[in-house]
Amino acid sequence: MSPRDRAPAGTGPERDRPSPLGELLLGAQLALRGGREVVLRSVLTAIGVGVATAGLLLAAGLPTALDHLAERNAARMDHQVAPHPVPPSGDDTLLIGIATTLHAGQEVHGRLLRAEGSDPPLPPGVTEIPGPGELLLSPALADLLDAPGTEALRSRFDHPVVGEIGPEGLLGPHELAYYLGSEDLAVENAGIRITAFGGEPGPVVRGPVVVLLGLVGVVVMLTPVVVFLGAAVRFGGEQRERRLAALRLMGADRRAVRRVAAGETLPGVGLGLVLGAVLFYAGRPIVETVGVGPGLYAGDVAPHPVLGALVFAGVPLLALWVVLASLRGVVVEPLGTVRRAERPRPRVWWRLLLLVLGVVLIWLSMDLRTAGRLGLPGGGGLPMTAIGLLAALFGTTAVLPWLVDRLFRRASGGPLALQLAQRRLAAAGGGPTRAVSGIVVTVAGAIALQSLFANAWADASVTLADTAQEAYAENEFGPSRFQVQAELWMPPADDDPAGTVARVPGVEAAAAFRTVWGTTGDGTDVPVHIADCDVLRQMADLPACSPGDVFSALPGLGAGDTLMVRPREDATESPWVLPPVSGFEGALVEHPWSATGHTARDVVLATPEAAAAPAEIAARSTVWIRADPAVSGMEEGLRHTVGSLDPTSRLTVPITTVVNPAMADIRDALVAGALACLTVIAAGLVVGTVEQVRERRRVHAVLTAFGTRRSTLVASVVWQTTLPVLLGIVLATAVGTALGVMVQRVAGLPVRFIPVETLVIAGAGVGVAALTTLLAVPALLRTMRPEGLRSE
Amino acid sequence: MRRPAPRALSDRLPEAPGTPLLTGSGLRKSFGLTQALEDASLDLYPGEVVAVMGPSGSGKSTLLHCLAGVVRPDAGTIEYDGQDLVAASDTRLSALRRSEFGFLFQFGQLVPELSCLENVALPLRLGGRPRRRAEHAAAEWLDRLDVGELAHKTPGECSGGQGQRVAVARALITRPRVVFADEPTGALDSLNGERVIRMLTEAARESGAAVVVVTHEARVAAYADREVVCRDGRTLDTGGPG
Repeated sequence: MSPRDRAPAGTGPERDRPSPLGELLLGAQLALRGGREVVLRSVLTAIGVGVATAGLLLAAGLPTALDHLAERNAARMDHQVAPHPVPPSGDDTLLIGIATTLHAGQEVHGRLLRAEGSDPPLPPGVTEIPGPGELLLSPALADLLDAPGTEALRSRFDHPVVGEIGPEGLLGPHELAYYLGSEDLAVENAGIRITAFGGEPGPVVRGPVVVLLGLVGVVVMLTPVVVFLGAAVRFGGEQRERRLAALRLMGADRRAVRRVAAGETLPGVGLGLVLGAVLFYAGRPIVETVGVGPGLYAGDVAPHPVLGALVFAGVPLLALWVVLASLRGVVVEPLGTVRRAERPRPRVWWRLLLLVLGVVLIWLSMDLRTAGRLGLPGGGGLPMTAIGLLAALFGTTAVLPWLVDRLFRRASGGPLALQLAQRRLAAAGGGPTRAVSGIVVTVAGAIALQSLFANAWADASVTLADTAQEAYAENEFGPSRFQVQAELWMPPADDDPAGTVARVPGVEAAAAFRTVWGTTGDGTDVPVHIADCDVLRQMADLPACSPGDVFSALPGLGAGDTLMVRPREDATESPWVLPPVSGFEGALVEHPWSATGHTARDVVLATPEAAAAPAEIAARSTVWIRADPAVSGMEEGLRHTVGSLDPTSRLTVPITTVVNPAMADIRDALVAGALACLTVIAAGLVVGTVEQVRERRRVHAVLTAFGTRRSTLVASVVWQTTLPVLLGIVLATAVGTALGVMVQRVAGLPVRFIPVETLVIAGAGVGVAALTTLLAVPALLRTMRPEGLRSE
Repeated sequence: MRRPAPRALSDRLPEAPGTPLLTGSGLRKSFGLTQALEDASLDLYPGEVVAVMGPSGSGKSTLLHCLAGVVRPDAGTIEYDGQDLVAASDTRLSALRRSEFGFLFQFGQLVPELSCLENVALPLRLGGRPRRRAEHAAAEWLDRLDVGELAHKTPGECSGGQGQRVAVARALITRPRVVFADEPTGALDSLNGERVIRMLTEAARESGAAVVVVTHEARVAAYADREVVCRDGRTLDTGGPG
């Protein structure tokens, strides 16, 4: 029996093959069993992975959300899918009237409903057609009506509320919407007969700007997470490297050691994925509180299956890549860990190449687009732009270490603290600038995105006049200098709309006329405006007018001729035998927004006594209004009064600026997003700086032991953080602005600059650095005790 | 504690050697301007225990690291069982460390996050042995070295001598053919130091492993079959098996 055979049982001569999976699991076990640093590293990794997972799941849910929005929009299509010609009324027909209005600049989706039988189609989210005068409200409108300060609005909805519109009938939780039962609605007035709701959802608009925003947004969002992960996985690095060296001594080769190191992140990554999923699902209801436009329901934000799978596969890979990248430049040998002594000087050529490549790609995509060989949206130029943008962003961060090296390697002079910081920056190379790279990407990316939004903002905000007075003056029409027009499709019977409107504070004058459509014997259609002589005189330059008069110069139209009149297309016609007809000179007065240049040759003006509109015809009313815009609340008062007269009315008022309020929300959200990214980066910077301070505790203890002032050491750390951040911010601002200009050109938009937002984002970047340094100072002070000289 | 009486050289050899298992010859190694090895040579025969002695800075640890394939010499040859270790790849050297060599250092070689049992089982697990079987073998080795009760304690909970015995168990669990021990008793008091070196040499002899032990303590060297003195980077064999 040889001596080797006398060894304890279980260590027989078997030779096993190393298992990569086993090494990964060993790493995981080390992380789970490790000390405070390892546990903290796992927790930090989990936070980083969790934030990345939740953010990306949210992004992966956006396409689904847009699809859901489009589907809901399509599901409640009504007048767009109304059959033509109008079908006869029946059990399964429903009359709808468009009663959409505005409140404080926000659209209120409204419909009048009248069931014509026992089995009418139901709008989505409605279980029963409301009876005459009954209201169904969206939750947001119900809340608004309950809120103080909405008395005027409440007066328009002074009906019994019999139910709520369900989510499937609304675009989003914040949509203001209502259905009002009406017994007056008819095909002859504002009614549109339908047999079903719902149509095909149109293509979801994903224009080049949206896609670019999405791509750049995801990258800008991921970068701080990578920075945070980078800092997290380096935490407790010294101990890890000692542990890995021990494994090397026991026979683990370099690849095995890397696998063990990667395995150490597995618990953190696993926990992070769970945390991310929990954050996403727990935080999803928050989207319902975001009041951009109608908003989104929590259920809308469901990750696209493919994108969701990519997130769950990609984030762990990203974390592993960060871990392995953190071991680059570190040689784990059996006797210990060595960092490559002669750190290669950062070479500028490939760094600039990346930046230049990015710029060239963007220019090229622009060139191709203008040449018409590639089109936007969706053309091949878009990926090129996106790749170019990303290459330029990362090229910028790549240039930073080279710049730091250039600037600080030979820098001398200044106080001792500054010298220490410069030497440390020159010696440490990538470390201090790595985290700053995150700030650079975020700041540059956010500025580029803001530039795109500067255009979106400009497009969404059109200034027509500087003041309301100016706008009203520019819109005056007719001898009575009216500026406002209200159209009532189903005016109340036996009412005087002009008189009612005239009582609104701020209204100086109002004149109303009714309109029907007549068809001559030869098939010519002609509008017939009916009003008393006072009003008719304000509409045209009449020779003389008395009750019973009719004015027109339509060829072939004279006394005794018959016009077939109807209140609107497809409505029942009634014959009207004309009395003697007089002509008039000049053009008909019309509201400037709907003016078509009518003259006496293509219009008929009639006094009510001429009986142009038989009693059974529900003629449309138009009210012209002169008002003083300086009177507070005049427009809202007018809107509510007209809306009360006829929910299907349409009010046209002069406007100074056309604003899409959602754009302002989105712009604010973008700034908030950039600040959130910077916060994540700040967290990463704090972790990184504390770890750096820990690594240098012995040096600090030595410096303190031989009398270096604490203030000098603190100042050196402050300089060490501040110098690259300042450099990065300057670089990021310049590059971000330049990229923004280029991307605007690519998107075919005029070039705009956004100095205020740029300053806010750049300032926030500087603030992050300052905050980080402050938070690291306590850890720094702890390392300055001479006891730190004691070896373990 | 039993202490062996110093033996005559001819008594120490377990059997007449044949071909050396490990041969290092003409080894040179410098670290920057410091010449650690000048012209060092050593032959190690199967099953023998060799003590490398010498003053601090004489190059004895560097010699051990070169022989173990941990440090590559600048010049010279190292042959292990017919294989050229100087030219061997890192993967090959790692495989040798995993299966043929065992290591014992002054301190710091146990992984503090793992229990003693897991530490001892680690080389087997790195070699691909399933955990349960690896830990079963580790438990036997811990018992063999009288530290079985420490199986579920962490290295931080052990005394220095206990920790070194755990390390001996870990060095031997793969049944290595060579154990390299660099000042294994350097951090221990004399009582514990002798206990560790006795257990190391006894266990190595029982499992048939050769041992190269670097030490500057004569009482440790007394457990060896042969002594090699290292001075100024050169070796002087004070007694060979031939």
